[in-house]
Amino acid sequence: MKKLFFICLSFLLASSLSAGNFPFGSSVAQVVKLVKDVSVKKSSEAKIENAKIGTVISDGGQVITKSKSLALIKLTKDNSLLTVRENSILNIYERKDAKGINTITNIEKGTLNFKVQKQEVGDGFQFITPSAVASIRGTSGTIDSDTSETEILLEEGEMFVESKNDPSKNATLDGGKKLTIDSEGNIKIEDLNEEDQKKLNDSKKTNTRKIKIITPFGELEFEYLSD
Amino acid sequence: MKKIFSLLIIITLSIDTFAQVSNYVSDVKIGNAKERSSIAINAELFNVENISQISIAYKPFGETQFKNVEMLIAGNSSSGNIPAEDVIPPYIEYYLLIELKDGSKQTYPIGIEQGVSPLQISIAGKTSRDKEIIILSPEEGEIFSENELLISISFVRASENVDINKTKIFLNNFDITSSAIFDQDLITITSNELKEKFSGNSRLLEVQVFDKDGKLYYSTKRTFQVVSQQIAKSVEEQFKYAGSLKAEARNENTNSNEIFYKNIGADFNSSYKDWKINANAYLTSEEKDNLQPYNRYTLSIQNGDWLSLKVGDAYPRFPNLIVDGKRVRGVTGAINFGFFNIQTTYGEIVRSVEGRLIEKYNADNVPLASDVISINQAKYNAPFGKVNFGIYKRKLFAVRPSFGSGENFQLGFSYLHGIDDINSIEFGTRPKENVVVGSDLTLAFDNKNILFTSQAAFSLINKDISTGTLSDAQIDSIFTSNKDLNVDPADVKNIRDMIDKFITVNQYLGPWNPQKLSSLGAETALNLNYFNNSIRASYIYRGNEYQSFGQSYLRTDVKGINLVDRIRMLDNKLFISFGYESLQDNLQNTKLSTTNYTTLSASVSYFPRTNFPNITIGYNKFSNKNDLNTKDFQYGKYAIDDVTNRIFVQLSYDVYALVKHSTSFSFTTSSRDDNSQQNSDSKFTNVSLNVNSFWNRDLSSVLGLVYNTSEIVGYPFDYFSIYVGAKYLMLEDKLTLSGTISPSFGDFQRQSFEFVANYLIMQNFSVAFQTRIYRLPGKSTNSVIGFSTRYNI
Repeated sequence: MKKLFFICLSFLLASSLSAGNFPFGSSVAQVVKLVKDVSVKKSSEAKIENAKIGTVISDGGQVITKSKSLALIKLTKDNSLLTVRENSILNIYERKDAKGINTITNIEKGTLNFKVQKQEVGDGFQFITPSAVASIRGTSGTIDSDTSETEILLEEGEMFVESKNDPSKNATLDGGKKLTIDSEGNIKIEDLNEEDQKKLNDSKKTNTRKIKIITPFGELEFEYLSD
Repeated sequence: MKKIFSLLIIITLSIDTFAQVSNYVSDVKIGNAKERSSIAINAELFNVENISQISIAYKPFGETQFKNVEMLIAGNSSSGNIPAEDVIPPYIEYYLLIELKDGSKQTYPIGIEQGVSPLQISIAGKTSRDKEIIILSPEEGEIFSENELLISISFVRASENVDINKTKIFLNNFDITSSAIFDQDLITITSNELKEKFSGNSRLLEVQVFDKDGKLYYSTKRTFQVVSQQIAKSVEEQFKYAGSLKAEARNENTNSNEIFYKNIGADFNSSYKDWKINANAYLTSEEKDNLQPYNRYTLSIQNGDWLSLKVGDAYPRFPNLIVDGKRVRGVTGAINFGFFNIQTTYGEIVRSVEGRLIEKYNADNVPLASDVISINQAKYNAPFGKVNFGIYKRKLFAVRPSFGSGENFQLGFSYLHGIDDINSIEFGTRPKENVVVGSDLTLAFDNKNILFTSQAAFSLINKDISTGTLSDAQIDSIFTSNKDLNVDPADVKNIRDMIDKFITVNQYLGPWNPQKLSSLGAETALNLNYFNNSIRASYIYRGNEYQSFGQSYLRTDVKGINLVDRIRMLDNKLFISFGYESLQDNLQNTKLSTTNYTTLSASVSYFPRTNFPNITIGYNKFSNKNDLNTKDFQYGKYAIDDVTNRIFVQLSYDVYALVKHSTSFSFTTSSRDDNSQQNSDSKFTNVSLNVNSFWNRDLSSVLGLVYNTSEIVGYPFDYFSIYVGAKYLMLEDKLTLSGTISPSFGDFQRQSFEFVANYLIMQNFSVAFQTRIYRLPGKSTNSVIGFSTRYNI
């Protein structure tokens, strides 16, 4: 019964996303900090533009980060924090109904660190990557995704993960564990090792460096994400 | 009518409590009081040269005993914090305990021991509206660079009754709503939009949300900092550091007695990844060899929650029967693995102060007196001398291993050893030694909605270790020659050898009646948190000889029960609380009679967060009675039979008439009916009104009125005080001028005037000039003139 439910849900989500037919709504998220080269699409129908601190993202909006760049996004519904690391593309959708607010973040590629507040009754939060659909109620960690594989490092809380292509392949991930899932739906769960922990910690960092070049025509200043 | 009512009412952000007559405290400021957030208390002081220590005595509603937190005295002010875990609705009672250099004590307000009511701080709870209005930015305490400021408020979850467009936003009490961008259910202000400039780094954000009828629906506050890009960058880097250097020179003229003070303070805070290193030092000319230390030094290292180490002055907290709030100069640390933890402290808690030889005597003229002792004849050419006794250096060691993180379970074992150093001074009397062993247990279920805590400790004290441990010969002479004792000296020696490893064994070792639990301290409590009721039932037992050198303020010779119920209603806006306590003393039958102490408490607090004042109304009844008859010819003078009734009302409200006026009003009245032979009846009433007005970004003012009337043992004492002050920013916010005038009339007459000028020479370097004059008509005119500098790194 549960599996059937998730199959139906995934189907609905997948079909909705592919059709891009989420209704345009109110603000879903806001850029609270950015480094270097970040662009946004404020909604599904908007054009891509440079992001600024305070830029508001509505349903269907998109955040794109280039090399050595990052963006900190806060969800307006509950103050959850998403850190979009360099070379990433994130789409944000929101469904509101009488029961609550469901947030869906589609990580097309790249790395996303998240600290999601405990969801209210009726609310939901999902991550979708090319290979997985993950549901949480309040947790923190990092998702690293490309077209063939998704790696999830979960710091705390609990996450239900299923294959995007075959929802019958699923698992529940606990805090302190790592999950990898490929496009075939093969799932592997391990304890976080030292390297994973470092990767997790690094994904939270927002340190930047600045280079100032003085030219006869004026000063040029570059800010970029440090290693 | 409502407007008139509103005008009668009061302040919230910072409650100024002033003109409570005191020779030592001129003003007390209290920070924001919200559930489970620590409360900062700052006191402005008079006659600092006479003060040796100040502490905050505080008690959450329904608790048995006041807890103490030492305040740091810096110049002519002192500061301390009530810990977050004790900040529980509906209110906290507190007073300041001032210990003077002549050994006497005074409280603020004066006369707590005589029945004067402590002060109250109303504690607001959290409501569902905290979830409706979400401050996305800033986070509490966040640091922004000048061009990255973002104030953002989300109304996504706000009720349909909320009118977002009516929202008002204040920064440092100045209305900045005109800078805000209203975008559907989001209000945003960035550095680009903010038109106003503010001086200094600290910012206080206040957001007021109104409903469609224009009534205040919700308000919240948040503090943050705006710093230069350079500082913000250093904060973001892995290695962060900050610090400051302060220096002050101050001249005090009290009753024509002039004293010049010099103080230097430095603090340095740094962090690298999870490591934090902090160093603080405070050096003052008040430091004297014949007094307890005024200087303070601390170096601390911390790594997350698992490791902490402090060298210098620390205030370790063990289970409160063992060590609580005592200053230890030495090494204090803790290692927490969760499944196993250990904390320890070792150092000096009392500094040695040498006594003084007053007069010498030969063997043929030596008088019999407690302060006449034998002295070094070779050194002083006399065998006896009359002395002023000094104070021995006292060292303390405590360790507490524990098992479990405390989330659901923790079992701890404590050991404390304290001893006076006999060789630390020449002229001393009765050096002491103390051992305490204890255990504590915490059990928690259902997310701590069921919490059981328990602790017990047993103490040994030797009241004179100057003669050392009993020798074999001494034991033989006592137990061999006296057959009536019927004790084998060998058994005594075995027991001595066993106990001597921990504490000196001689005739001064106690307790003598351990089987009567005279040196047992124990308490157990069950907390239940269900159906909006927080119920706490506890039992305490403290024998009359229980003593720990790590605890100065524990009430002993008492046992009894305490029941408290705090009921939260209307989404945490209404608190109804009840408390009942029944205690009795004379546990070891060491007194003529047993006294029963009964306390009944009730309070109603309403925090509407709308266009209506916050209100707290409380009632206490204290009954003390022993079983002696006041008419008894022989023992009637020892009879105790008194009842004290106390009622208090506190109101606070922000009024908007042209500008924002934060107002507060309090009324306290108590009456003590003493039916004993002393007949020390007393009455006490205090009414105060305070208005802080924020006229524009540069100018704010304060107006306060206090009426106090009391009658203690038939002696009336009435006075009325006015307090008027203003603060003004000028020269592009580099110069801050503030001044206050406060005359008091009636039985207490005093006129005080204070002026402070603070000039920012550079962004990180400021100088301040302060003068305070207070005149006691017909007696004296006293003054404090000070100059201080501050440099931030």
